[in-house]
Amino acid sequence: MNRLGKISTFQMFAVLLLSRIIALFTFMLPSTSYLPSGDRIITVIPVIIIELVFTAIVIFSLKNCGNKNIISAASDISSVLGKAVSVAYALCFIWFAGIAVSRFELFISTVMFPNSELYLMTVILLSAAFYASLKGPEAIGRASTILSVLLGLSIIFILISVTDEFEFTNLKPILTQGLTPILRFSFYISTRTVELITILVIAPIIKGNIKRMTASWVVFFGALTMVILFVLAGVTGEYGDDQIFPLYTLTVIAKFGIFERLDDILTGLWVLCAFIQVSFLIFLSYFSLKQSYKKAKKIPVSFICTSGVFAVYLTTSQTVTSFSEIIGSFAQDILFIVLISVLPLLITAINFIRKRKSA
Amino acid sequence: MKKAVSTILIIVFLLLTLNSCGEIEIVELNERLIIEAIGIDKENGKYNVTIEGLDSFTAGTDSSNISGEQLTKCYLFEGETIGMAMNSISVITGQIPLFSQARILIIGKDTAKNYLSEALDFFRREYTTRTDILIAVADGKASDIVSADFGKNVSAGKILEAALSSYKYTGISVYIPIYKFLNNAMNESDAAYCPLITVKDNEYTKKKEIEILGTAVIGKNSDTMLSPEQTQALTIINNDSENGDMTIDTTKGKCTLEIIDSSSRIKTEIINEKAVFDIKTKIKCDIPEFQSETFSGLTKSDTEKIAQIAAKQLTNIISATITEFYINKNFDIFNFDRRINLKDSIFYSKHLEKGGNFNSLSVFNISVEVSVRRIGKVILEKE
Repeated sequence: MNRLGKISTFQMFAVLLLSRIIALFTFMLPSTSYLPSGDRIITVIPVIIIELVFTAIVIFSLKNCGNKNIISAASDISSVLGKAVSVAYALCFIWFAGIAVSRFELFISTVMFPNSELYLMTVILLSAAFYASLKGPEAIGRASTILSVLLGLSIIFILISVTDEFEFTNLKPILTQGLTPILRFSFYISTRTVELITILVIAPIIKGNIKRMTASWVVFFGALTMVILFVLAGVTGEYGDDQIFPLYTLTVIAKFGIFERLDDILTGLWVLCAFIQVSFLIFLSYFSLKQSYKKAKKIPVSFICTSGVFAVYLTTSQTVTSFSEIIGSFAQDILFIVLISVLPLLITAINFIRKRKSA
Repeated sequence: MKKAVSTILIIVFLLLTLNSCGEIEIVELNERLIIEAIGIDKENGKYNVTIEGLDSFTAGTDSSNISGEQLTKCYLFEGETIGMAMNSISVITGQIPLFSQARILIIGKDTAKNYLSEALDFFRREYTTRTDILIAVADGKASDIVSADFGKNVSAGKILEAALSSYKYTGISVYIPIYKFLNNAMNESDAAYCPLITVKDNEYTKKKEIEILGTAVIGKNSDTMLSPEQTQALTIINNDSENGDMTIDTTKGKCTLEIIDSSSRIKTEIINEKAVFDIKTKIKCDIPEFQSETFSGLTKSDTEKIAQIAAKQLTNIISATITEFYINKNFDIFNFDRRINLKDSIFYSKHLEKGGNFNSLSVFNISVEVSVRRIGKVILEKE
């Protein structure tokens, strides 16, 4: 395990932040447009609550596994179960990485190279991500720390730049359609937070207090999202409601003195964020398999995982805009809940019963 | 092994990047038509799109720059939709259009009145157009403005952008990027507004020049226009501009006031099924000119009197503008309906469902406070 290197909680925080920010703000799902901007802003609160519940389940499961991750805990019960669980998590990470690449390609082919299909760029991104995944979590963590500082400064700069354009009359009242759509949408967003699932697997190589790190990440990211959505609504009003890349739209509007193309600066950072997210997920998919298949070789297995990501990208890229509508939200919700709560709790419960019996 | 993988990857990257192969097409600058201004008119069921583009074929050659015949060229494209008209750009010019540099979009008055959502959908949806491109309505045809001769090597797009940017100093025109215009146009109760412009002859240079006539307001079913004076009231209420000028008559002479700073606060309350708006405006002014017959100076009480007259004059203009456009014509260019919605969404929804308008339910208390900061280079006289 030590050969893979360790990642500090601060670095892990940065990795999760970059992964989540690119997932949420470079692609706003079509369903969001059905919520008025006021409701969309307060959706963050139930999202934080739901994610904190998921965090509690993750931490509870990890605590009861000792210093192991959920795959090792499953292997303790049975090697077949361990292998099945490791494959399930690896496939989950490959799936989310593939979707991330598809969305990234959509973003790049919209704002950088309009109307193009960028297989080549995707291959380059995946090759770089594959290489970075071989370097292990520490290298990814270090790169994320630097990048998160740059991204944080860029976002602050952009938010300050658009304050002149902010109008309170662009905001919408909250709860005009009742609580149900807000709760439904919160659940929709929460059940796509793959970053929480990653904690279940990567926990043994994190140095520091995982509980504090994960909870603070959930709250911090929620607060950041709220601020961005608030500024977006105040600046763009109705226009911003149907923008597929909301933060990018904000950067196009942002101007600071002679700097009129802040969007170009941020586009470069988005590319690096996508690289971090995909590298991290490829590493995790290899790491998941390594837990049960001890003889798994790093380079070939990582390469197979990267190929899997490319296959998901090829399958989903043509319909990525309407993908969530096509496959149905329900299937993905169930899959997420199984991986983040049902499976860990089941494994924890079985281990607990076994311990009591043996005692 | 790691070294081998690294070496292979570096070689692959170098091969791919240095050869520029793959599906990313490299487009040279002279293959691009860099668009400066776009004009849209609809005639006989077809869209006429007038484009002003930089003449990149001559750019970079001996005849380029200021010695060239023209810095920009104008083209007219026709199509059943704007997208179709835009697609024919490459057919006619042999160049690929680059919309991201376009500075201004002008829509003919009739087209804006009758086909606004049709005409703007391309600019809302198409990836390559900018979110912050300026928008204006032409008093007549947009093509007349985009293709006007403003002088040798003068880009219409740049001239128009500069003219519209004058709002900062004059306060009698509005500055509306397309996202703001669409925000107003897409709202359920609002009316979208933007500058109304035309071109006229300059009798000295014999070239064309821009004239800002006021503000065009395009509602859901009708349209109207604000004069420059009414536009000033609009920009003051909406906090869109901090500067401007105004002239007032006093018993001692005519006085010009230069607005240095302006801010408005609108407090909304729902009282007895009525929306009550308290509009409080604070304006700081300088006096750059006071026309009297005897070079007489200004005393402290004179400046106070001037401030009072100016406040009264502005109150009247603001009140008249609100009455004419919101109460009488029902154009919510001041966002009063949105304020009602933010204050009491139940009251708002109840009246909206009834199909009622809020103008008849609204009461306005307007107060303007003007303070004179400087009286120019001349000293303040004793009383």
